[in-house]
Amino acid sequence: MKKILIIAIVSVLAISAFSQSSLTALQYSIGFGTGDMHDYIGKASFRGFTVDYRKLVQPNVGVGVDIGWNVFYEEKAWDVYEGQNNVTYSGKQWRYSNHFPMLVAADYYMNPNSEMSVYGGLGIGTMYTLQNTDMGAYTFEKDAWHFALRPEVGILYQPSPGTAFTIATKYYYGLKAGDLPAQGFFTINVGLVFIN
Amino acid sequence: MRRGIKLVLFSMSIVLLWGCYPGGPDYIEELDISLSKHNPEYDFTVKSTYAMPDKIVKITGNLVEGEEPAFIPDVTAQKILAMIADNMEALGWQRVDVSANPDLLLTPASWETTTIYYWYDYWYWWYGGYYPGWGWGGYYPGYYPPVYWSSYTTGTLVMGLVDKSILGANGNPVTQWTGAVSGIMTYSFSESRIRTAIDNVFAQSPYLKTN
Repeated sequence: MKKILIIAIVSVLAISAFSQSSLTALQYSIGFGTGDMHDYIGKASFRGFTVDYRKLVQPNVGVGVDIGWNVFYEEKAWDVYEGQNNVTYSGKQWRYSNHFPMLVAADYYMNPNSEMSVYGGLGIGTMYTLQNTDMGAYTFEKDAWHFALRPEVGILYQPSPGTAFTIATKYYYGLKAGDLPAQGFFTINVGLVFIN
Repeated sequence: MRRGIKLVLFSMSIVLLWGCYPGGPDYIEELDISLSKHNPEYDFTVKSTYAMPDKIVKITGNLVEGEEPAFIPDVTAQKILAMIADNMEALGWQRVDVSANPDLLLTPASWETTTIYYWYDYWYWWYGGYYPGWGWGGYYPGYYPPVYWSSYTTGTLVMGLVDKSILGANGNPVTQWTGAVSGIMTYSFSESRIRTAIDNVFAQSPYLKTN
């Protein structure tokens, strides 16, 4: 996995050396957990951001990298939980799930020269997840590096040269890794794009 | 110039998002927890009597042979023992003297753990929200940036139900049920907090009910 990532990053850097222009997007991200992730924390996350960078290798194709952070949080009401080995425990829980995707990505822009352009893309790489379940004065921590995929669709609106706005929806999916099950969540992103 | 703007925006985003990292408990009693563990092979329903001492041992470390153990103050112990007895009675158990050959022995014990920790000024706000009941704090001189210290003390009460007729490999009776309550201690004894926690331990152990 690491080799693939290194090769991908080196490829992106090599491509960028010959490219004409680039896009850098700073995005605020709202997340909604799915599957096991939703079972752990059902509430939406309003704390997240991504930084996306694309080099345009063709007028309608951009390749680059994405990094981001989404933190999900939920305060669980007092409840009784069944643990392993006939252990039962009760109390309140505070659950935190931090996700740090680090991906290489490629996007396709439908109308690259127009004011409004729809685009779609795919990211592939890794996602680090750090989950803490706080109960009493104790915290139970799990973490894992997942192999991750991220499809995305969005709209790029460029009212003036050099700057654009974007709204996009992404789906992050990290495969089961370590002690953690698969981690999946949708995001809605809005942000500012700098075009060189 | 544009690179500078990007960097400033990026830095501001990180600071803003980190600044609103979600918080934890607001009240100290929210940190009270109850835990139980039992032997699923053991049939409590066919038992009916238990004995319990009228003191609660305070575990302070390994005892030297001949040394008397410490006990928690009688006033507090009597209240806690009454709470335990109430719950056992509600489950159908009859408390008898240890000389009356009870089916089970209930062994209460307690201990305190004080955790001292240090933190730097810039994350003070986070721990400040997480440990609402810490006992004391202050400035730890000699460090820059400023390093602060504080502590919290966790009190734990453990109850074991032991069948003296079943011995483990080491020759000691095996505990068939363990109940524990734990919470961050304050300067005053809160009867309602400990009663709730003890009630919860027994409520989550319905298999203790006798016929």
